[in-house]
Amino acid sequence: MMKRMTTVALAALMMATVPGAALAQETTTTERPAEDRQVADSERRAEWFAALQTRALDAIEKRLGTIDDLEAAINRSTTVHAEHADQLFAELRASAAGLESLAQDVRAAEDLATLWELVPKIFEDYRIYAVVAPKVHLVLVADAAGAIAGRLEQATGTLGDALDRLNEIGIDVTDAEVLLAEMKESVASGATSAASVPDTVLDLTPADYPGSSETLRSAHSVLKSARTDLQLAGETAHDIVRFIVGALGGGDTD
Amino acid sequence: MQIGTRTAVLVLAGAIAAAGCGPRPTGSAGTSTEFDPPTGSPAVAATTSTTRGAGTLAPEPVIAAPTEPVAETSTTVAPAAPPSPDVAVDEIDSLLAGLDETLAELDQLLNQAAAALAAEEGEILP
Repeated sequence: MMKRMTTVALAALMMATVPGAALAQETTTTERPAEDRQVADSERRAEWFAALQTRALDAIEKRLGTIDDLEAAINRSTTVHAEHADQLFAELRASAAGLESLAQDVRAAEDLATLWELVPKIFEDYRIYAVVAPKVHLVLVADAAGAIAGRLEQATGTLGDALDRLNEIGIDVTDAEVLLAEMKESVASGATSAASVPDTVLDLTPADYPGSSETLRSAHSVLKSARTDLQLAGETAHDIVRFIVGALGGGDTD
Repeated sequence: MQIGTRTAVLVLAGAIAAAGCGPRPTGSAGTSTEFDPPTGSPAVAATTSTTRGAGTLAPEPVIAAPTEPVAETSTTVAPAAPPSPDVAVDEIDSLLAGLDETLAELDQLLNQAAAALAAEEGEILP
């Protein structure tokens, strides 16, 4: 009897302990990979964080370099209007200061979530490539075109004087007067087109993106049209000069 | 006839203003010696540059008052002798001289603007 009771107790103990032992064994084998994964994930997140931080700082540095280039382009321009240059310089300097401050925040970030919030600001708050750079270039083009228009307008006055002189001495200048009228029209059209662009683009801000893109593209088209007008005016001016020289009995001026 | 008179007066006054004496006009319109080469003599050029504003018509007292005494004309309007078309041609050549180059620079600026318009912000976040 006693032996039977001992056997039952051992069996019961086996029933009670074997699953427990099996469970304990299973737990040990599954915890180690989880820890490994956690370590691996942590390392990957650290690497990712570092890579993202580096890329963010590179992107900021690239934009600061572009700002330097844009400032140099404005300084090189001999035709940019002073008030336009002032406005562009102010915007570029503000953007540079903001990006430098953002770079400090990126360097100071200690977790991915913080970095994740900072990175979009590089684009959304500044739009150096989508808004600022095109704007600077377009204003420089517009003012350069305006300067050419000014020279051609001066030329129309000089040519008009010359035609008046010829007319006074009895030379028929009707054809040349027609050319001069065409030249004046081309100059006026080019000047008007060029002058309209700065007002259109100077006040664009990063917040205007993406709608600003269409405005900037349209401004570029306007300037191309202005350039065509000015070239036509120049060609017409040469035609008038040839007329004058011919009327005076001279040869080609080319 | 009227033109012939005006031309004669113009040339006479121009000659007086420029050199005090000079060749006589041939009398046919457009062939006055005032406009024959060499052109833009220093005296004429100097007179032109000191009396003309950019794009403005110089005073024409000689033509406007052909019947006035020569002495009075020479003393009152000599510095404002009308510029010859040759001088105007020189001036316009100067204005237009760098036009092609300037338009080429404008093209370069337009291309830079087009490149800037084509640039993208890029992406950092995966």
